[in-house]
Amino acid sequence: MMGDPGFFTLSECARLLRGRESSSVELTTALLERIARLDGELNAFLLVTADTALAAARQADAEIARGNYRGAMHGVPYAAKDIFDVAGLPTTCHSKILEGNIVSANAAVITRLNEAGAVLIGKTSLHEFATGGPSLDLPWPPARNPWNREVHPGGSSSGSGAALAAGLVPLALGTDTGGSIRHPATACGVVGIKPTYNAVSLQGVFPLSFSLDHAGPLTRTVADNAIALAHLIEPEVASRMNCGVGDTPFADIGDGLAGMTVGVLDEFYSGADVDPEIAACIDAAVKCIASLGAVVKPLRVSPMSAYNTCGRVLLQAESHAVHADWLRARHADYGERGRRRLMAGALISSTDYVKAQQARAYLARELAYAMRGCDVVVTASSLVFPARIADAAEVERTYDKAARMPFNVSGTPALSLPIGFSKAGLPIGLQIAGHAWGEAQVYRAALALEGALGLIDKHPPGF
Amino acid sequence: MSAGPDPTPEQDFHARLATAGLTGLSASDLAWLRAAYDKGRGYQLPPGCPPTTQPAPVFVPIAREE
Repeated sequence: MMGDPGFFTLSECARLLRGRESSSVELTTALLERIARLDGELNAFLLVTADTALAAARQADAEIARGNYRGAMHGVPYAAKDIFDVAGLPTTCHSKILEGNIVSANAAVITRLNEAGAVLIGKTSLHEFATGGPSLDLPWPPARNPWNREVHPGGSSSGSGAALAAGLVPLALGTDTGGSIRHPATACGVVGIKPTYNAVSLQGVFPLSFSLDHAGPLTRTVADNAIALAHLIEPEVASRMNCGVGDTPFADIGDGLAGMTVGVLDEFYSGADVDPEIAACIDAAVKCIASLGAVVKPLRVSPMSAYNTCGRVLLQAESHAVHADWLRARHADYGERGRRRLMAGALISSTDYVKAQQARAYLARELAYAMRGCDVVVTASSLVFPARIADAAEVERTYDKAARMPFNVSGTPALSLPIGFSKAGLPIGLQIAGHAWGEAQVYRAALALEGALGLIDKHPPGF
Repeated sequence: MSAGPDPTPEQDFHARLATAGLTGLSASDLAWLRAAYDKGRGYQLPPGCPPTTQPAPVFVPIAREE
């Protein structure tokens, strides 16, 4: 095996394993060593499953040696946010409420990855129940950002983003209810997609908000993300998504931006709340998209606040419904931030909830209508840089300053791609969003821009 | 049956917490929640959204228009 496997991409791992230039045991052992050496300062993992990972790696190696290569995930190590059930392991959702909650069955996506021969190496940290974080009053500490250990790595899939940026895994699973895959992808400088609603099964995933929850992959490259998503989606939606199998499951994603029409939701990142460095970086990326041959045009929809308010009402009401009994009986067992956010749903009236569902149908149609004639749209992901974890007031102030919720409301795919860095060395992300089931077009645009920007090999100092 | 006067926001806030069984909260939790209540009270439909738009209790993404 050549080089440090910490930053091997999923595609490189697959090539090495398929060609038997490396074994799954070698890759898994090397990543376990990195986790043991580096995660003490990151807290990306709540649980490392070294023994079962090595057993699965040995099985993968034996199968590949017998000629039974199952595909691009076979023998590849990955991590899952500790909100996905894995039989025999605890699902804690990073909360005292579920401490010691050993589950008996796998989440559907864990089963799918098991069938593909992937190797689960551990479960990653998150905001409490995917909503209350980063918090210092939980049984386990919050994940840290590899680019600056003092600042938030984004969330709620915090550990998944941090583990990828630090070269601890080539793939991690996350969930996204209001941006929880794309936020850590942005803050940690990796690639994360929230696919079309219901494209990836949520069976065995602890719910936050049933009508806004999505599951999806975080990786370090766009090509890896496409491979991972192809292994996660429900079989019946693959044809709808024009998704096949193998190393390039989405046909034509390498065709470049020439011939594509890209809408720009510039009003989402033009207000006073937006950090000027982020706005400038996005403007430069849009110019790059145009220089690569795409037709770029501005789009106008309702103000982002209409999408965010609609999403907030739905999220609060639905998440309170999940937690109502525990909040009555055990509210002191939640962390402060999670407890407050979940209790707030008790204040939503049924009238407001129904109105928000009405608004959602309208806003989803409005966005689809605005996107007619466009292959994808681009906009900001985070409007500000992540706060220092120790600064509770700043965390609170910046918590919702993002343009991610509109695509949870619409249920349409949205990906965060690294497009640059601040003067202080923090990553900046761009959102690329598509039509329902339009993941192939999202990946096509993202792959072309990723290639032009050449940031794939930029890693956090010290990792 | 007469409906009686509308509750004040303060009464409504505490009534909603009581209905949800949320008692014994700290003063700081109550202050945070009251701010959230004041921010979120009376959700308004976005401009242009007709009040009879079909709600979407189980959301199905809209297929791409060709």
